[in-house]
Amino acid sequence: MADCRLKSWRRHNRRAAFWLLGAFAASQLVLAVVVDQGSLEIRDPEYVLLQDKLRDREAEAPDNPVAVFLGSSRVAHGFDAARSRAESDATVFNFGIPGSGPYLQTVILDRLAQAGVRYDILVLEVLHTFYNATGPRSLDHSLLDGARLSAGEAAGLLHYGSPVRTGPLRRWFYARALPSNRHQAELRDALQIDVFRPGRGPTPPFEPIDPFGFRPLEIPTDKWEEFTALAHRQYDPYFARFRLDPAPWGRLLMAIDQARGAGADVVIVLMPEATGFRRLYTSDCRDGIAEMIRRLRDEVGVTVVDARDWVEDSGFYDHHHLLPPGAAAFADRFHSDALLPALERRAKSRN
Amino acid sequence: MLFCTGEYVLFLAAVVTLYWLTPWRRPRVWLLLVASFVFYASWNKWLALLVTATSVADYLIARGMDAVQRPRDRRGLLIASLVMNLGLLCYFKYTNFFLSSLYETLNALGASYTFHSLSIILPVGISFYTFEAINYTVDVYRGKMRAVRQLDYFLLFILFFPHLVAGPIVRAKDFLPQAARRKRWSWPRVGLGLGLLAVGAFKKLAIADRMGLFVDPVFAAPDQYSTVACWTAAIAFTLQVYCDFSGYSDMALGSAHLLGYKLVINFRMPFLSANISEFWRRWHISLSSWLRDYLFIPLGGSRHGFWRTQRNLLITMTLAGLWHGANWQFVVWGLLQGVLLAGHRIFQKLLEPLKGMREELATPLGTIVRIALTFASCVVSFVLFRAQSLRAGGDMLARMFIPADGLRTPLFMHAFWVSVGAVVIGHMFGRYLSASPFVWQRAWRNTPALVLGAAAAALIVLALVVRPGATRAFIYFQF
Repeated sequence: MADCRLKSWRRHNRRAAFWLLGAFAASQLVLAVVVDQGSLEIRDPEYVLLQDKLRDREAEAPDNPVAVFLGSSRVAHGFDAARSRAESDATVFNFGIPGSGPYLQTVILDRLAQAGVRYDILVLEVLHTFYNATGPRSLDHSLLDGARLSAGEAAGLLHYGSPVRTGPLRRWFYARALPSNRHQAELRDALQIDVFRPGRGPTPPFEPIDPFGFRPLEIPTDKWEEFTALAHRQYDPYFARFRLDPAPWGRLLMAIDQARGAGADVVIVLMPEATGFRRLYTSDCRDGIAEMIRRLRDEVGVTVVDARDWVEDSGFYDHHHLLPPGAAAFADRFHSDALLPALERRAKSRN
Repeated sequence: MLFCTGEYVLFLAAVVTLYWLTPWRRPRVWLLLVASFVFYASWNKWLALLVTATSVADYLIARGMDAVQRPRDRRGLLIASLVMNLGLLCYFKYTNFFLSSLYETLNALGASYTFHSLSIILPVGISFYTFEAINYTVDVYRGKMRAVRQLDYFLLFILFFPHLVAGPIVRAKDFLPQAARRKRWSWPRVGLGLGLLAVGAFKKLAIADRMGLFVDPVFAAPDQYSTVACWTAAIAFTLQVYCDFSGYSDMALGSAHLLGYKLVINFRMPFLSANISEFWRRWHISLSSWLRDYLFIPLGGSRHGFWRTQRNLLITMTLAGLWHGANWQFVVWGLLQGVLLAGHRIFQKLLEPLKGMREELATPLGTIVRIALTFASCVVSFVLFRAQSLRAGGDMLARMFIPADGLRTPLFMHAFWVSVGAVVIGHMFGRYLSASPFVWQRAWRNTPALVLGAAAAALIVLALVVRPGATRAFIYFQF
């Protein structure tokens, strides 16, 4: 009798332990499905925030032509889109996302198409470090956060060049295996936990972003040296040699095709850099990038704007990210030298 | 390696798996020793060597005590152990405190010295393992136990990773027999261990860390906040320190159960205490019982009259305050606890002839009032525990008791009330389960396994989701 009771007690506890593991695994599975298939707000709130702002700007002037600028942090912090709006009747929107490279750009274009967001001119940043195959790994490998991709969006990573795909795919896998850990902040926000009184809590992660997607950076001067050293540690190895990496190049061509498919014209931009970076180019690297630009112009037939020397060194804080005055200067020149001509070309072709 | 990080979960899973796959008893002990050393070395490998070295010294001293017969020799060996253990504790933990206090005193007397603090790394958990080593050598000296012959058992007693850095303070006579005992995989024990890990993670991540959001900004600048915000922060800190430390203790107990060891319970619903003496029997039990056995009773305890007892209480609790941290606010906090305990004894003495009043206080309403007063005294005294300095603590208390306008709490209050509700429900549930030794077993047995497992999983998921950002270190790690 006692033996039977002991066995039943053991069985009860064994079942409880397995139910714990099973229930935990099931909860993660359900959350993973919700995050992956159901809720873009949880999976990629930064994108949703920008898309909503873009929709709002379009709704304000539904007849205006729309120019959308996709790129990395260099664009997000370095292009004051509101200045172009003031100068013309076009809606210009900065869709820069820190860490965004060619892979994420194609994903964003897909999402915009699915959401029915219209754009007439697509301005694409080409940051040559994303396209350089000479390093041990590409920048997309290091910077692309796979967690923000759905399973369908991440599937493309399987064929995205072996040194590229492992990092983002690993991040995607961990995020889906344990969504309550990786997407914890987003889930917490969705549940409205820890609501800070306005202006009293920590700065929300994607603030401040202005209504046109621009993220002005105010970096204290005593931090500039530290950030400059960090930027050079991160990017200097890519300036020695240049071999075009076919995987990101393929994605760039795909993005151009997507934009053209949506009826938009494409402008490629090489964002401003300070002399601290510009003097690092070896002849091999310079020639390689020139060849890539030539192919874009001649073979792909897009306008390429090389703006690397457009802004004075004083406009940067770390030799490649622009401060607000630099972002304003770049936006002004970009407007007159690239955007207006593009808008005129488009108007002519329409006429 | 904090208990509530993925790193620790992987570490624990690997250790538990290897431990139960190892078929022999002694190699299991060695495996736990290696794991414990790795665990401690994840903070600092040199300090891990230091702990090991002092533990070996304590082992040899205790063996020496067993070997010699003359009381004088035994006393000499005990003094050697105490000097070594307390000397290291004083050096690592109190050198800067003593020196800065000395300089301040000299400057107050008219001298002009500038104090430059020495760069001494505080070994994690030194206050805990020092007390464990002392209880062993004192017990051997008193003849309450024989010195253990197996060095690996003794090292495991000190280094066992679930209790190494923040307790519970384990007694050698409780632990060493467990090290020697053959262990079998036990599903009830595994279930209990996993349950404790889930509850501990929830307390730490979902409540303690969240309360920190209410606490930190207010304690950083109390003069800017309103009286209500200061009271909120003080209550939040009381809940934070409880959930942080009891959460840690639950996870320590849970980890030990998974390895077939049982550690002492450290907290028993302390906020249901109806007086401060009861509070200290329910709060950090392993420390308060250690202080009782190795400090209060050797000082004379309550054997030499009313006022000598009061004196012993004040000394014991002041030293308990100093044990918590090398700061005057901890000393004053400890002294305040001593005053409260002494005051409670005086109150009890005054009540002796007042039978009607005693009966009134024993009614449900009277009990609720006493619980509320005890909680309030904890909230007020814990202000000194959290304050950056005595002056800051004084500012906070002044703000709490002199009504003032100012900033409100940085978060909206619903997170606070939900956390308060969770602690209240936890206490009521704990009270129900601990009504008799068999109640929790009956409740556990009668609850479907699915519900038990799902509830524990829900606690873990909730803890993971609602924790406020980066995990904070456990408060008691600094001690």
